[in-house]
Amino acid sequence: MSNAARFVVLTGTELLPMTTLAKALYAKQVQTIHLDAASLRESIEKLSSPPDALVVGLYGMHANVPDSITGAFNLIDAIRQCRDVSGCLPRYAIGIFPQSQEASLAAVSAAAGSLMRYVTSHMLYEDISINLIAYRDTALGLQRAADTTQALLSGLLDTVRGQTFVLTDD
Amino acid sequence: MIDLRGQVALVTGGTRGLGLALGQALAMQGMHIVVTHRWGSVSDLELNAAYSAAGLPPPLLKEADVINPDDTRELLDTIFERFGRLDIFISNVCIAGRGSDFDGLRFRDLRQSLDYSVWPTQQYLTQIEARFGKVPRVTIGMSSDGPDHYYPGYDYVAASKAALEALIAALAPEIGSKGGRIFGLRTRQVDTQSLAQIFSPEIHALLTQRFERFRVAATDMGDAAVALCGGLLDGLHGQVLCADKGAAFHDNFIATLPLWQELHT
Repeated sequence: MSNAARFVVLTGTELLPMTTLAKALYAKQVQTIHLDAASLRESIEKLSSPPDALVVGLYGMHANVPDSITGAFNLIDAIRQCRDVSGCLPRYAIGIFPQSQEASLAAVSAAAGSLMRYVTSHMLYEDISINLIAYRDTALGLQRAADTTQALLSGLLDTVRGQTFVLTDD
Repeated sequence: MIDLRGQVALVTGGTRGLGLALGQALAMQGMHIVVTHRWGSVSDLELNAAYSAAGLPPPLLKEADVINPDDTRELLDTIFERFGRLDIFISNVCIAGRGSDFDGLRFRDLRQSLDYSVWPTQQYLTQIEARFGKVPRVTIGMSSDGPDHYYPGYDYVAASKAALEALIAALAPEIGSKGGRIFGLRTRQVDTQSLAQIFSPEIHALLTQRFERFRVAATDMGDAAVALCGGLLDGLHGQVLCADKGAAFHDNFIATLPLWQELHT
C-alpha cells in the first residue's frame, strides 16, 4: 500500500459523477477537480507538486457520433498535458465512462479500450499504469466505479495495465 | 476497503510458489490461512518456517487431494470446527501435463488437467455452501494468459485456464445471488517452481532473465488478491483481473523485434 497515489487530479465535464468520485476517494488525495478539461494544463501548473494520478471522465462519449470520439481521446490529452506541464508522467491514469447500449457509443467505447491498450504498449517502459473503467450509469454503478478507481490507486494493482474494467452494478 | 482481520481464507495448493505468496499476502492482512497440499509435498515445519520468516503466524496445513470429495469434506469439517467460518476461497491448484507435438496430444491428459484444475472450483463451492450454509464472500480462480497466447508445451494448462475463466463467468450470477463474489486472476511468467516445470530451461531463462523486466512477482499477485478480497473490486464480479504489466498485449513477433535486436547487439 506504500505505493498508493497521494495526489489525484480529477477531470471531466459531468459534475455529478466527478463529485461522487471525489467524495469516494480519500479527501486528501484529491488535489483538484475540473469540469473543463481545457483548463487542466493551467491548474496543474498551480499545483505544489506533480499529481501522481489522473482520473479522467470520458464524458464526451455521451455526445452524438462522430463527436463522441473526442471523449475517447481526452485521457491521452490529459496525460500529455500532465507530462508537459509537470515534467513527469503520473503513475496512474484512469479513464472512466458510463456503459451504453447505443450501438455507436458502444463502438466508440471499444475504440477507446483498444486505443488505451496501444497507449499502454507505447508506454511499456514508463512507470505509468493506464486503465479504463466502464460503469453502469446508476448510483450503485457509479459507486462501483469509485471503488475500482480507489483500488487502482491503492498500490495493490500496479501490475494491472491496459485493462478495461466493465463493471456490474449488482 | 473491507477489514480482513479475523476472516478465514482457504488456498488450495498453497504451500509453494504462487499459492504460498497468496496465503502470505492475506495473512499480512490479519486473516487466518488454511492451505492444502497433496501427497506430502511439504511439511508443517517447512511451511511454518516460511510464514515465520515473513513475520506471520503459522497457517493451518491440511493434506487434501482436490479431486477427492472425502478429502474436501474432511478439510471443510476441520475449518468449520476450528474457525466456524470461511470467507475467502482461492482455487489455485493446477495440475496439467506438458503438451507435446500434434501426435503427442492425449485425451486422458486433457481430461486429467480439467479434473484437477477446473472442476474442483465448482465442487469446492458446492461443498463449502453445504458445510457453512453460504458461499464464501470472495472466490478467486487463479488463471494465466495461456488461453490467448501460444506457449510451447502449455496446451493443457491453457485449455484448463480457458475452461476455468468460462466457469467463473458462468457461475457468477448464482454466486452473486447468494451474496458472494467470484473472480479470475490472470498473470503470466511468475517465477515459481511451476514455471520451471512447464517450460524448458532455455525458455525459463528467457522469461525470468532476459525479459525479467516483465516478470510479475508472486508478491504482486498476492497484492492483487488482497485487492479482490477487499471489496473495492466487487464490480468486477464474474470477470478476470489481468496482472501482467501490460506485457501480453505487446508480446508478438513484430512488436518484440526491437527487443530482440537490442539483445543481440
